[in-house]
Amino acid sequence: MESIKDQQFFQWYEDFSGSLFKYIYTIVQEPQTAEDLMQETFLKVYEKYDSIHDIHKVKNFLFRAAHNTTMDFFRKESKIKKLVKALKKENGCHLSTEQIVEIKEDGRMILNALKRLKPTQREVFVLRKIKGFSIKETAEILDWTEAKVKTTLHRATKAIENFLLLEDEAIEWPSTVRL
Amino acid sequence: MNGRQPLDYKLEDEIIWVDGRKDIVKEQLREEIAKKSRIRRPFLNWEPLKVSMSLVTVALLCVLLIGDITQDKNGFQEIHQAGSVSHTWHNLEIKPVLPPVDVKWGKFENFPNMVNSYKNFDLVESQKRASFHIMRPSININMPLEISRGVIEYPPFLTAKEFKGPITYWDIWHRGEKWVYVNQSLADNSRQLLSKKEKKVMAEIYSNAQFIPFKNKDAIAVLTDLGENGKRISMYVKSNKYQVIDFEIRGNINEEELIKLAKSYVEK
Repeated sequence: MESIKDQQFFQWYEDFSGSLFKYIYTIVQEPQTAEDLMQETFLKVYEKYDSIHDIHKVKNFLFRAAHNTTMDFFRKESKIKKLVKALKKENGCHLSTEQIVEIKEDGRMILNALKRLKPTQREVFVLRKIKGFSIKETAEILDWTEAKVKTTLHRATKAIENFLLLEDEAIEWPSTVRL
Repeated sequence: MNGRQPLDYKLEDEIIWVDGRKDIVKEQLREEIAKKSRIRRPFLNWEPLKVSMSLVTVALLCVLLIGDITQDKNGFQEIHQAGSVSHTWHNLEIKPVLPPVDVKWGKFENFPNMVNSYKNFDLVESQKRASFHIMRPSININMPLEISRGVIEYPPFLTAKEFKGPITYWDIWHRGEKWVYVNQSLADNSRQLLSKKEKKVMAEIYSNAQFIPFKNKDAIAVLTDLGENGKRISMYVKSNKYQVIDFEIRGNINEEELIKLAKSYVEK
């Protein structure tokens, strides 16, 4: 029989895993890695369960843990990236994007636009604009000042707008006119 | 399309985590948790061990605290004996080495911490607390010596050279016996303290500048001749990854003395 802790923990998993997965996926852009990192995030949260005092801030806590886990991944990734990728290919357990996520046309456009951003810009943009966290909450999750969130978000939004405008132009004008 | 928030909540519907994956990961999570519970060592919950570990921690903290207090006391005595005043301003310890003949320090300790001021800037409250008032910076300053400082916070991951967007910066002067400051934004739509004409004059003044070599590689300085207004040294000292402290020293004093004064702030 499950303890109260386990019941509560898996309820959080039910409520937030989808949202967390999409958040991590937009940052790392690899479905398998996103699942691994999400699992790691939940394991960390399970271990820190006793330190969660304010039950109303669980969502923020989870996103903060996801942010830390993702950043740790980026720090380690450059060193072991090749090795892990090679191993995945060898043992054949690497799942395709389609096996883990389905992406609609608009989703692809958004992901392409997000690729143009630096990881931190991408992260602040997803938290604020897509996940709908407030400036204050975003600052808490990223452990930044609110001013830094605003500045980074401003630049990220500009970059996204420029990219989308270029995309629009590419559609509106025939290539002969552009040349 | 709304130009400001083009993607609000859209990704939630556009990227779908395939059905079934959630349950698979949940099962993996259950297995991992079970595995970790089995590995967990039962002796860690043994009461006598917990008590002795707590005692060791308390003893270590006491040793550290005593060490810290002793160090602080020694530091105070050294400063007191030297007869100078030391101010810490956001990671940069400022210790005037030269006798402060021309510089009269104001009630600097009243000024709220720079970083906090930047975060929660309240002009009226800041003025009340520090008895400051905003002054319009003028390029026609004719005074024995003036020092100004500010903090420029750049967006992350961009060097000052790369960054071309709006910068909010503080500029602080010591004038007469008062500290004065402004909080100024370089954004196009913000109110500018300097007019276009004044900016042009400022740019011309900078044209006769020369670099001062420093041993400290995190600091750069430029010496400019202001003619009858004396000489000015503009310094940028990197205090951490994202912040640069901007110093400015102006004076109708000997050029070598001015450089010596500038160096005393940067090189210890």
